[in-house]
Amino acid sequence: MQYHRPTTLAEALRLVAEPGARVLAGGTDLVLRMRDGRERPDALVSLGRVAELAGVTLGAGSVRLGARTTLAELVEHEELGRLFPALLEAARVFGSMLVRNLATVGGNLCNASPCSDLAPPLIALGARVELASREARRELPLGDFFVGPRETRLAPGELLTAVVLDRPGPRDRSAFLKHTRVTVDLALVNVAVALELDRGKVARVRAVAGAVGPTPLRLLGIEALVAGQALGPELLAEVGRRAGDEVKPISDVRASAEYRRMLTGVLCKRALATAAAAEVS
Amino acid sequence: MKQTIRLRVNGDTYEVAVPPWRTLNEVLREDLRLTGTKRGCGDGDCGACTVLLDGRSVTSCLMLAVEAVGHEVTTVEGLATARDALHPVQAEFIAAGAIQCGYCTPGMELSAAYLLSRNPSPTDDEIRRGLSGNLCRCTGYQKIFEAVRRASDRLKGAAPPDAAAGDPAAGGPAGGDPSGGGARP
Amino acid sequence: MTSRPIGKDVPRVDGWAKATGAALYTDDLSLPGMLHGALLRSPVPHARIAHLDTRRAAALPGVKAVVVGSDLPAVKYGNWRLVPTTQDELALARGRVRFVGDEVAAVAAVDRDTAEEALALIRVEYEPLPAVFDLDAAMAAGAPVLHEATPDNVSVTRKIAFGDLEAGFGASDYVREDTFTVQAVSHAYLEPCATLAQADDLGRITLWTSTQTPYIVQCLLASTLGLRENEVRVVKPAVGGGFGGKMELRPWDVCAAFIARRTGKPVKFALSREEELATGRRRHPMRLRSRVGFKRDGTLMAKDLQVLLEGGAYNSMGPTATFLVGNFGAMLYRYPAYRYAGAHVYTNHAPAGAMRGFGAPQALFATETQMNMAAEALGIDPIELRLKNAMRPGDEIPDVATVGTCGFAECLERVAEMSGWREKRRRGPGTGGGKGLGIGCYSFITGGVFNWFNTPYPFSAAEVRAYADGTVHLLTMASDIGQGSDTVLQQILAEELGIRMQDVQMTAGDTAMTPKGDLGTWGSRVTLMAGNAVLEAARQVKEELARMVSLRFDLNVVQEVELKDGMVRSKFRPDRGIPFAEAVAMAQKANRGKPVVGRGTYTPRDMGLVTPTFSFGAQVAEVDVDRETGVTRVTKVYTAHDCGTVLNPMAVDGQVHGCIQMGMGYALSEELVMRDGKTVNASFLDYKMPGALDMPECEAVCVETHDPRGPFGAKETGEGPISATAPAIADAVWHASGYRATGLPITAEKLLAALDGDDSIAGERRAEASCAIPDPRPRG
Repeated sequence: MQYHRPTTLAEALRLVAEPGARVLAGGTDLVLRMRDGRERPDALVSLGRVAELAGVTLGAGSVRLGARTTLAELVEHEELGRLFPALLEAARVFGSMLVRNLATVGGNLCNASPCSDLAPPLIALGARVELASREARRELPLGDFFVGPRETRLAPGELLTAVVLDRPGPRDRSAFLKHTRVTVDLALVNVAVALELDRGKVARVRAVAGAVGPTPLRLLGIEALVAGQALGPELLAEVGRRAGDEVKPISDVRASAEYRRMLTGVLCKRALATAAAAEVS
Repeated sequence: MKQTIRLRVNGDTYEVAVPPWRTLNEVLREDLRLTGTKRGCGDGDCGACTVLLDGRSVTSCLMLAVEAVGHEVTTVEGLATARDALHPVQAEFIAAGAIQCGYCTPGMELSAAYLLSRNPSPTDDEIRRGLSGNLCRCTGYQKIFEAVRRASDRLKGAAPPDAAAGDPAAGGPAGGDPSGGGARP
Repeated sequence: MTSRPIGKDVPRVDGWAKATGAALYTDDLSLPGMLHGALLRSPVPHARIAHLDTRRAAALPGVKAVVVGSDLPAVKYGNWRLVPTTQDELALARGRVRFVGDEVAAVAAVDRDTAEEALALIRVEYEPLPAVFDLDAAMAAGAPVLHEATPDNVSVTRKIAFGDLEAGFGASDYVREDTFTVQAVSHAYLEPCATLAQADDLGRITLWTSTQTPYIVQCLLASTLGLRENEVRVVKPAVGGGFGGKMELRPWDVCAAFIARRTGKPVKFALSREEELATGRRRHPMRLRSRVGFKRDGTLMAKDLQVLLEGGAYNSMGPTATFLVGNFGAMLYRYPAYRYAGAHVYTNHAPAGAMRGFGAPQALFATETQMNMAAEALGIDPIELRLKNAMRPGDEIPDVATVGTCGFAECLERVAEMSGWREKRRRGPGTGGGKGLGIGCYSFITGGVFNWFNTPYPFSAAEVRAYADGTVHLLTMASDIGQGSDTVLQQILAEELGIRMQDVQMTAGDTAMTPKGDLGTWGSRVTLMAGNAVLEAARQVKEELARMVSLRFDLNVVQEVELKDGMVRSKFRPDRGIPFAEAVAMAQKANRGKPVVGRGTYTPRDMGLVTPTFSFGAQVAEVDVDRETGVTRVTKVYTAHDCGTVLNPMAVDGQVHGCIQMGMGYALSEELVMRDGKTVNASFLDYKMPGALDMPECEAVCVETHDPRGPFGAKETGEGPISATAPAIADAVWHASGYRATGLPITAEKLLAALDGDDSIAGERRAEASCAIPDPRPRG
């Protein structure tokens, strides 16, 4: 097995295009998969030194998260959490401190684990992913990026270089909630919501649930249900009852499908309430 | 398949020939014989293998050794500057009774040192969050929390406030007095 | 450092080594030319091995040995040496595997990767046999048999009975019968098992191994390999926790020693976490049926307890568990009549073994939960009900055990005060906005007195060598596995000799260097048993030095001499005396250079069948239950405990806190989940223990008693509290939510299902399950 450590994006893209090459970012998933033989790449392309992929950039209208930004960097960023409370909360409860210091935004998204804590809030916040290959660059809504467990729309030789978010408007709020067995755990269910409140009513909303389907799922029925409405107790109770109908969870050692459905409702209801109640900063 | 790499560990440079799939944990323990870094689960779930990479706490079992090239690695062996000059975290782990079987201790101490290097006055919740990746099966964590609180007090007392935010990988306790750790009780 | 260390927060003597990473655990050791071993394990729960071909593995370059069952002597081993028919294990399977993980072959190679590669080249053909995965299937007529000598799969039965049971129930105003089920959980010590063997020219073995019982490993390894006991030397390096899971000879010990003898090279085996969780020892899952009768005023009249223990594929420590669960079922309260029957049942699961609290977490989850249920039904406060029936000093379990010191009633009073129980518990269940508090209590043994290992040596021994430079060397086989016994034993020695902690050096846990014998660390025995041995050895030294000094200063040797502050001197005229070092020199000179040595032993005699003395305690847990998700958050745990005299408060606190962590996991989140014989959550990703963010605030007070059988009055503290935590949390969940759990763990999903009225998920369906104990058959 070869190990490459390019220093420029161009070099990285050239190496990634080689057959059998596998991108190594934080390694928190890939190293495990290599060790137990689930993956045997011919070459590893480490992104650790590619400067173009690092860090958070705040632009006038958008915010760019370089693919190799770690989860810890998201948590520590001074502005980010204020702009995107759902993203901050998801990053804060992502794995443990030790994992957050290694795991990267790009790595987590490209793993396409159904229980990713990062994907639901980013989808809810309307994130786009920048994909690059030697030949071309393109942008894709993150919501369209996932195909199934460990499957994305990344083409061979393509690299996720960044996640781009629009700066929120003054009436935008968001929230993220996660259910676990003990505090540090994979999500049994997670839910992220992002919404715009206009005079007490939901002007625009995205609600996304994770770990309840092969990919993060938009809760379109819930979005339709609350659109144009004030988030009162009755409506929220209805959300709680109905959100579970929109998801396709499985039963495993962590939880049953029925429990996951039920949790989806509770978390969705609470996330909406949290977001609606949040102070506009 | 092996390649020769240079690793900076505890301020020393080592040259080792390793295949790319070898983890930093394996290289530290088996090639460099720095066995203070433990192996508890190999999956990044227990934190017994914690080291600092450029001052940040990471699980060495989830990191390839080749990825550590160009970074400064600190293991538990690099926390104390001399036999009787322990890092305040080490001294307080001993004094507070935060150690039982000791297997989680090196990782726990490094996580604590990292936490205090970034946040000299952590709240109880911040201490718990800072140690959330390190499992302990003996102590019920209470004495560990206490040790971190005491180390925080000691670091603040021993060093000017701005120095306390320094980098533990630099050798001493955050640029403060390296003998602040005190002697073996 | 003070010269009176007893009762003080003395930091651990191994603290520096562990804090700096200098402490060496078994897997930290390596020897030149060392081979790396790996084990091939059965992937199927029950099968005949039809064919086993190791040729390709053996031919792989770098492979130095491939060993299968037929290579090893066909000597079965097991801890219950007293009853050889219970010894049912072989290091490597011979013709038959009985659980997923049963060891089939061992490989040793120049490095670990090669050893792993060789394992993959071994070809095994398994002819599947029908398997049994639960108590009912294993005990059904015509069930597949695991061991031919045990055709009904019930390997051990035990009974305890006293008083007139029928009369007791007859006179009861209120009788209830409940069934409780508890799950398998893992010790989850942070250090996976490892072993390193080296052979000498005569094939004698030195084995460094992660064990809490070096002497047991020595004896059983020797007999397994056909060596004499002392041709095996077992050395205990630093051990990263054991909790009962490291108290037996294990296959990797045998394989390492066997291959070292064959190849002449040192061999190391180190287990993975997955091996530990998937195949390692675990706490016995049990089904407990308990019938209990009360007078209307709450007076206990009778209890009838039937328990089935799911032992897995081999006996391990099951015979002891089968007795102890019955013993603990009779503890805490005065039962005028009591009957216990227990049976240990083989299944095709990884064997259960000893684990912290050994029998008590299961027995007391049932006892304490049932007390709380009865209190509710009788309309009596649970603490009042307990106070009415609490054991008192001098009580006994006829023919089984006598209670010496007992601060139980005071513990109940104290914990009620600390927690604000009487105020907070006044409100009814499910009325506190999700908040609730509950109680659980415990009693535990301070060492076991029953000689199941059939040792011909003392249960504990110590040698104290006093030197003319003022230092003292303590040698004992007692094994510190993290609990801090090395520190406490040195405290005892320093206290008795009036010297400082830093004057003491220690060699421990090495069968060749330390006096025989010691049964190891289990049953919370070390402080009392090894402590008494140390005390006896120290007293011999003390006496000799006192004699010297009294001769020189013409002191009354009986009344006047004290060893204190590094001096041997008159109590009344402190100027009459000399430093400890000088006294040693003087004694040596007077005896023509003969070293000043004390040798102490401890073996309990005439102390019933169980223990020299019991600890007691009461615990209150406060929880918050989220009615919508079922999540239980433990917010505070109060403990009042009687561990005799406290020798080291900081160490005692640490034991209590550790017990709470494990007890809380038992209550809420920990379970080895089995499917078709496989452990499906064999990683810390899915075996969930409470972590730093989950632990409640813990407040503990000691209700000190002075136990005449313990060194300086001490009793156990390392295991007892674990048994109170799960019933306390379960009771708090009831108080918070109205749901009374009779099964563990109370996961969020189960609790929610129960609160929503779906009992099938909550385990209630097992209420109908049988706990009938078959008649004991004559055995061996």
